[in-house]
Amino acid sequence: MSDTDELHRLLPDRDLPSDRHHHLREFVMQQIQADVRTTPTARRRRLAPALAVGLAAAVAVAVVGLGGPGSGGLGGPDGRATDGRTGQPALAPVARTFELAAVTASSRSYTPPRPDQWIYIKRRNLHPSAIAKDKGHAPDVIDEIWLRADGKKMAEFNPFHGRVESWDQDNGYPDLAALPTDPEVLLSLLRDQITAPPTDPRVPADGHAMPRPDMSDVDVDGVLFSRIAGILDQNLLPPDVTAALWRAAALVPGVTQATEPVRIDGRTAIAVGRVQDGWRFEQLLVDPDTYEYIGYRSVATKDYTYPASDVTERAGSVQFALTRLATSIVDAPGQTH
Amino acid sequence: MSLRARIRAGDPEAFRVLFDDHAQAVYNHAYRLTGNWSTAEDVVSLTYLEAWRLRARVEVDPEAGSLRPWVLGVATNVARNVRRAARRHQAALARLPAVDAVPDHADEVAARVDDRRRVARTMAALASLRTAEREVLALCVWSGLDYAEAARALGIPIGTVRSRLSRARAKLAHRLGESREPPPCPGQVLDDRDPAVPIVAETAR
Repeated sequence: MSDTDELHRLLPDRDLPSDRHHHLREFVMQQIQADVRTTPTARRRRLAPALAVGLAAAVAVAVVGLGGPGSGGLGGPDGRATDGRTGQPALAPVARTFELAAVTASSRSYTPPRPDQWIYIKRRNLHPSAIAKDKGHAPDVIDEIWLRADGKKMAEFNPFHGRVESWDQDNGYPDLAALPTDPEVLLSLLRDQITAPPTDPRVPADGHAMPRPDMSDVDVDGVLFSRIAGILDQNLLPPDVTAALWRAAALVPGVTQATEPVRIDGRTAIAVGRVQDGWRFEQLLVDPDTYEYIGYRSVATKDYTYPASDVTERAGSVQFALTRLATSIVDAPGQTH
Repeated sequence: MSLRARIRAGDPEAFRVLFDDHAQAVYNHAYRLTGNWSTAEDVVSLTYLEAWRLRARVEVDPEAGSLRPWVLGVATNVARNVRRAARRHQAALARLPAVDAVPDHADEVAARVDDRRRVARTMAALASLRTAEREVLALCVWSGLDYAEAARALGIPIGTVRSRLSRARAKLAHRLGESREPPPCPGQVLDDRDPAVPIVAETAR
């Protein structure tokens, strides 16, 4: 085996630094635990409708006011329901923007896809961040994905050989399409998925008890906002669910509106979102006239240096900007309309 | 329950053990396949997310031995197409930058110029091989898998591993022999033209 030893010597192992090992492991564990928590269990499936009935009465009051754009539909936990008779928008700009986006979303024409149909989404992904540069990620990529409506397959256009590839993967679409259409119920459900202790039916009762996840240093509201934004960005859902997602986003504590319009892809957008981790303003972008969804981006509100690195994002710099170029429901991957 | 059974059953703590046991091996294996240490870190994360997704495929057979071949097999698939793996775990990766900073310690590690040249030359030679040849070399020579383990990791017959390995060895020796001089610029080392590893191609700098 001296030949092998000789080759091995040419390219010796390098240690994964312990802080990197720790970072990567905790990242993976967070994702795994989040997956365990969000996997719908029999128990939670039963719980959701019960919750819906319980809250329906309370929320109905708020929904009554929904007469048109700007007129309400935002019954916050503090009872900030708008006055349906006067139709006065007793809403802050941020709430108004979310509500208008919800109204726009709810009025879109939509024919539910058959299980064998595919949801097509074409996006532009800009990654101008210092960290993306450091990691060597492509700064500007247009991607096209297809999600089969039964949730069992995904496909994407692979620009390197110019073909569309599909593969078996749970894409979550049926669960997302069936999300509650009541914003508060939806918000509780998503919050529950993020914070609830894991209950995994795949582990036998005599198996290892799952540890309760340590959420003490997690900004749950931040995760909640990102989750809602991610669902909005990566899917084409029924109008009532999409509208509920916009309204739920409005209810996340800390949401705010950018004071200036945003220029993106040659368009102007209103940006509503939330300052995450104390330094990144994650923004949902909507058209100022139609309130159609344009995209999702993150912009630094101050200089930030990643832990254990010399990589700094400067205040005002954009970390990522995802813009939607096209969506449709098609019969096969590769089709775009 | 054995670790294999716990992995299969989806016990998160078993994945923590799996990470501690093999992350180092995955990291180095990924570097040999992609030629970039930052990409190798991404491959480590993606490999374990993929391992979680594919956990039901783990054999519970107590005779099956170490999980390392399985983990390295998953890592090989991830490295083959980092973009596709990244797509699968897109939602997760969207949050990765917050916890993931990638200072490049290459300078400290390959502090001596000679070392760096040697590594660069070897990586250039490796990069010139076909993906399948490179994978089998990485597994058998550097990760220390035997033929049977490499066959299981790659999902190919043992005979194929053997023949592919001997062909890859010969090619590598030839390429190393003809490139006694270091490559003209360091960037060349990272310039993997294999379209199946696009991130690496984008990473050349």
